[in-house]
Amino acid sequence: MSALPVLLAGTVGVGTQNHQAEMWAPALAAAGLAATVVWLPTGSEQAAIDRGRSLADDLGLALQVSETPDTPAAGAIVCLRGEARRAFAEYAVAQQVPVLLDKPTLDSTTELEAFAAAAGTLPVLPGHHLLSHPGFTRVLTAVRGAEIGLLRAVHADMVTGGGESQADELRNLGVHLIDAMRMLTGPATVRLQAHGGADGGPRTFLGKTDRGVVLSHHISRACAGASLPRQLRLHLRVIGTHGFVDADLTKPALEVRTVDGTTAVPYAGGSAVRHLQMFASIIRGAARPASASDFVTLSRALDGMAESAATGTAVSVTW
Amino acid sequence: MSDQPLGIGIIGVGGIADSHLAALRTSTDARLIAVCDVVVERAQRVAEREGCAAYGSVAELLAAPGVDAVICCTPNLTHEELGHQVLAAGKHLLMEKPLAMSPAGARSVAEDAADRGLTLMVGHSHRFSAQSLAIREVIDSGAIGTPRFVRVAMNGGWIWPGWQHWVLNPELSGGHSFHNGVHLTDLAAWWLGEQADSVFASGQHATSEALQIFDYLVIGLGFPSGASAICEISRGDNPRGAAYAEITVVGTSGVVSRDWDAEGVLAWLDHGLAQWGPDGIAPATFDRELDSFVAAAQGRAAVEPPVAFAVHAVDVAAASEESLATGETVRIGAAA
Repeated sequence: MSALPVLLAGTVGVGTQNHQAEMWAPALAAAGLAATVVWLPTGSEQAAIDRGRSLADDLGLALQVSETPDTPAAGAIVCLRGEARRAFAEYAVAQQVPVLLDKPTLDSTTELEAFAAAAGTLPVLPGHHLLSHPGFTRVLTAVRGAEIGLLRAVHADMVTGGGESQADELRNLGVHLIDAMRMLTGPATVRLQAHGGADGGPRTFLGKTDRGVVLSHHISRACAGASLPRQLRLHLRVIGTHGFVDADLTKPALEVRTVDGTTAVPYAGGSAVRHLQMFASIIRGAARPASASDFVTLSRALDGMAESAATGTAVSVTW
Repeated sequence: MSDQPLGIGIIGVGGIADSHLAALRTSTDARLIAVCDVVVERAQRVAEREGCAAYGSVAELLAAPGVDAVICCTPNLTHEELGHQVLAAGKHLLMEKPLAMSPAGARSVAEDAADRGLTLMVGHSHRFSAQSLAIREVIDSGAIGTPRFVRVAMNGGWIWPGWQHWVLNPELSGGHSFHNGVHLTDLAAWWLGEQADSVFASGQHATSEALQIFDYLVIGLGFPSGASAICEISRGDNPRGAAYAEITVVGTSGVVSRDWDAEGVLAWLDHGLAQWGPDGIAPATFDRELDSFVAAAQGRAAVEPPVAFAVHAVDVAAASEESLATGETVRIGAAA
């Protein structure tokens, strides 16, 4: 099967992070995808253009800076924000190009409403690659198949080490766990109390769905500013009426012990490759994600959590 | 300070008393003098085995020669009244947790002990477990920076007796927040080094819809510094024989985790996977707790946990039960 051509739209990242270059592009080939062009919207800042040119050079492709892309593609991986993201949605709808949208909830709910209005029913896969982690998908299968009985509780923690601290780690990091939780619970209303400082750093919540499923999570970044960011903890525990599952999502990995210390060597492919494989299925029409309006629902839930943390009172959110 | 072993009396010889009795057998700083129980035959059986006196009333035990201190192992509802009775007799007191079933009751006993100059310690035994102490050492070393999140999960299946048992009656136990929840919330406060100011709890009647306590209970805590904690305790898990323990403390520069398999002895048996506790780990918890109590009573060390934290644990438990009833977050005041 030949590789599916995809457009790499934008190189916007969090701080110096560049998902387009560092995460998506290196995983394309393993997922059966091939980049056709690196595209940036007219008016992009020089730093973005420099990043785009560097990525294009690495891939041996042209960098295109224009109002809209003029290179055909079967899909687009979009690392844009705000109005540029919304405008791209109009182009994607016109061309009927499915989109993988990196970090959707770093836009505000208002911006996402505008994006969803522009995207309509276009297939848009969020870049929440945790959802494609083989450990998570196995757990999801177990929950949906009642292998542990009916779902009673979900507890999840994510601690990232290093990297750049962000204004709102809930919308940056925490959304991965929230999205995973709602995959497990299905549509739900959750009564919850969240915690977290006004600096937007560590976030914790405890809640209960209208079906009585107890949920909690914690996300934070330790040692912000250190180089070589990596997951210090990514742990999911799911309790059912007839059993429970404990999943360490920093694995599958080997453990190598030497006199200098212990290191982990992941195997079986990363979640980014698997997420791109899912995107390839969407491009082929073999799978279909929720519409972009789903991001609005998710974003409103995150807004509710932020409100709870800020006010110190319990709130109800729907996802 | 005394170089004589501290004479100990035990009130109530069911359940947890066995762990205290085992610790007393190995202690050189304390000596069991007498036991009492509302079922005097039960007290007599223990006394015969342990080589001490047996009584059918608290008054008789408190009047027994050589009793310097008392370990109270009775149902939660009795703690406040018995605490005052023991202190009024001039005895140091190791009260099983919780200190009392209400914040006012806890403060009343604490003030009584302070007024009389007697040692009051509450059996938050988890502070003395090897894993808890090791986590405390990691935090104190600075290896993970400033701690800002604690997750404690201590889950298992049904271990309590039938419907008749007092723990299942919230009027006698105070509910799961008081009975077991205090262990976990105390650990969180200890490791974070501060007292919670907000409590939100969720629970389930996992084993039976008819339960009046939440056998599955999760307590979320917020702290003045912005730190937070999730404390999860279950006696309603399935399979019933499973025992799952997980502790995670997240700091500004790292994480310390006690994962479910941390003790390192796993067994695959006909009925599935089992974790076998390495020898000696569990009993040593109560040995250390007893040593700490004796040292405090003899003026050689401070009380652990400080009484203010034991009172705070009751504040948190009361707030947790209120949150369970209302679905709202409950704010609590400063330290006792």
